[in-house]
Amino acid sequence: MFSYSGKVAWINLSDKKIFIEPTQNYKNLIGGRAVGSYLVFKEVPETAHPLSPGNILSFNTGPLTGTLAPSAGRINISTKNVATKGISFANAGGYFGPELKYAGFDHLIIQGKAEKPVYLFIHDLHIEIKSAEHLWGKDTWETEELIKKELKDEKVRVASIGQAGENLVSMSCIMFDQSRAAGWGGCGAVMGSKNLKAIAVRGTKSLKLCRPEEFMDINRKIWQRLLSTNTVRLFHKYGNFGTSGAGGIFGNLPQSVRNMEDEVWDANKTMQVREIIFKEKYEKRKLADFTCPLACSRYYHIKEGKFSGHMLEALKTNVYRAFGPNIDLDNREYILIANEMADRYGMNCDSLSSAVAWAIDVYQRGLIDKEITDGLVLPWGNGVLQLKLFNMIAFRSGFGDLLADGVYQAARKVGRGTEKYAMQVKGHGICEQGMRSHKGWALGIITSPIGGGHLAGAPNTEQKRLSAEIGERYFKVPTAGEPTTYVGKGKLVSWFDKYKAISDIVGVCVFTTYWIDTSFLGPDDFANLLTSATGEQVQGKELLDLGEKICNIEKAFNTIHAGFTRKDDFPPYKLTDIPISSGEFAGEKLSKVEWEEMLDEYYISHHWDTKTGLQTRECLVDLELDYVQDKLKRADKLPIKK
Amino acid sequence: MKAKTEYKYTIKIIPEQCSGCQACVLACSYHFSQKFGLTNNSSIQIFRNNKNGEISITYKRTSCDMCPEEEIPLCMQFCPLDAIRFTRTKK
Repeated sequence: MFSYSGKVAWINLSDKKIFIEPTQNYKNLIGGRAVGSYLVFKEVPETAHPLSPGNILSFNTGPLTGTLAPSAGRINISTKNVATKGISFANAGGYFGPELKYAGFDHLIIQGKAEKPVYLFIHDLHIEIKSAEHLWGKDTWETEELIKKELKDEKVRVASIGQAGENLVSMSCIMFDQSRAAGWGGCGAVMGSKNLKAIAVRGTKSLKLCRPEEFMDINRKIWQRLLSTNTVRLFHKYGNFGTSGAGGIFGNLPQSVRNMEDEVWDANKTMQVREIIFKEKYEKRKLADFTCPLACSRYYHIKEGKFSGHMLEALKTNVYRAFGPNIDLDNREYILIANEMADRYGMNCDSLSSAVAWAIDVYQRGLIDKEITDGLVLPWGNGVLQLKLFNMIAFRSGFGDLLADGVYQAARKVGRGTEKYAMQVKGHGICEQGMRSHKGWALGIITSPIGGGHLAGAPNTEQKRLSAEIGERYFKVPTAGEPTTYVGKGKLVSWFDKYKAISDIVGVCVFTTYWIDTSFLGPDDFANLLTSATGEQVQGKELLDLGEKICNIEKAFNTIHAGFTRKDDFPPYKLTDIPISSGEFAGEKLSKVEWEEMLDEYYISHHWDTKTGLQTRECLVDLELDYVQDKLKRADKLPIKK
Repeated sequence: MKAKTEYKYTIKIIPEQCSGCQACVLACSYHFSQKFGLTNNSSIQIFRNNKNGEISITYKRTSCDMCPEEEIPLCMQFCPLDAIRFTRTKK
């Protein structure tokens, strides 16, 4: 198979058996998230707890991963979601995905549970299961360093969990290259539950394409097109954080403030954490993921003060948001160190922040007291407290044990009216900005099958204020660029659901797609790159159809395993009842009536039932998903007739 | 009469400008092998040290043929941060 490594490895940690099959078996699914979600759907029984040996952890590259396509370094991780009990897919950059392909494998599927801690060493078609007892208890940075030393190879790429994953913390993630996270769904805890500390890969093979010259001609034009845009210039100048963190370049973008209570932060605090100050005081260099033209990452070095000497790749927008304004903290160095600690312990910034900010919020409201917090006083804006809570959560010590199960479970256990301040979707903590004012963005986050997050159907068109003409031309939605308009957003989000799935399937970062700029990669660009790379003729529309199919597999998994229906596609209390205090969107909140109408439009666009939010039989027949229908039938959750 | 100095053009990579994305390594790998990989097929090797953010670059001048079939070498075409420049050395 051109552009693939050609092999899938099934590694059962219970009996240490390894089974290799050809990637060809999954040809119709192309790769990445499509293969991951399909395998989780097929292999994980309804009765399996996410942290039981019956769950699987599926690492999936795409056919473009490891090629010279823009930002072709992505790897997908699919599993049963620890927080929601439904589907989870997470996606990470860095260099692990390409290295896995160069080592000979497109997909790794981890099953069972090792008796004692182990790590995998995969090198040029060899797979070794090695003891990790000496690594257990180490953080992700230490683990990566120790494995490189042990294997005597600095070029080994490592995916690992920190103490949070070992302690089965709900918001734990898998870290790659120290700072790249597959963050969602508690996949770090799933790895920890399998006693799998890390996966190290090293490959010296190359990928052969079907028509390499044609691929390069297409690819060269795409790169030139990307590099000529103003968007890329902005990324080069300001990075990911600078373009949308701290209110964006012009300071006028929404933020998430004090457990998402508001979207406008104190101007003086915002000024403390502007990108320009980070650049002047700490920036060492620009960094980029594998073959990424955006170079949106930055490496920082703290040179003086309490944290003098700390160095890290840091501060994506949502990390800033989570550890800064969401806990009302404007201390730059404490924000950077929070980033470092989350990376080291291996915890997802959004769901971690949702738990910490909720705790402070309900303490400040007088709903919990020191009896519950083990004597801790919880003020806003305290960097020392934030780090202390991170530690307590990662090690499940004291009050941290309550928070370690995620904000939804913590609020349920505490009760006392704290539940309505839990910023969560389907049981998974969130930390987002702009959800009250940007209606399509909010719809995409709330309907995301993995329990929130903006990497499923949430569009960026509203932030970009696309014109009606562009909205119509690209998405057949003239209101795509109007933040506060509900009409058209259901259709828009359903399109982005399937479109953003494509980048997760082929192995390219969503930042280099239409999601960020309509001059970036569109469906036909993906199709042209794939056709020349694999030799299999594919059209943009067929990729969108595959995206729709995958969304339906994920939806059915959620119906069977988590029992989600329409009621689970509603925003949390704060977003519908507490308006934005000031600024351009002062007074905006999500209208429950208009949300219902927008949700109807969304379901209709997906051909799902508006009354229940469930799939229709006709929809599954049209998508030729017979096995999905069968499984729904066996689970006594038949799709609704139209 | 002063002898005419002959020059040849080659490339230099500016480490401070490099983001470590490996695009040049893959472009070079393609040029020599029609395949994509981070192997010795490439005249450029880039290594990023996660512990200090340093990027070290190895450029094998002897194996680089400056992509004679291209207007400018492929590595330059795919460098997003203009970290690869032409340089002139005496023959």
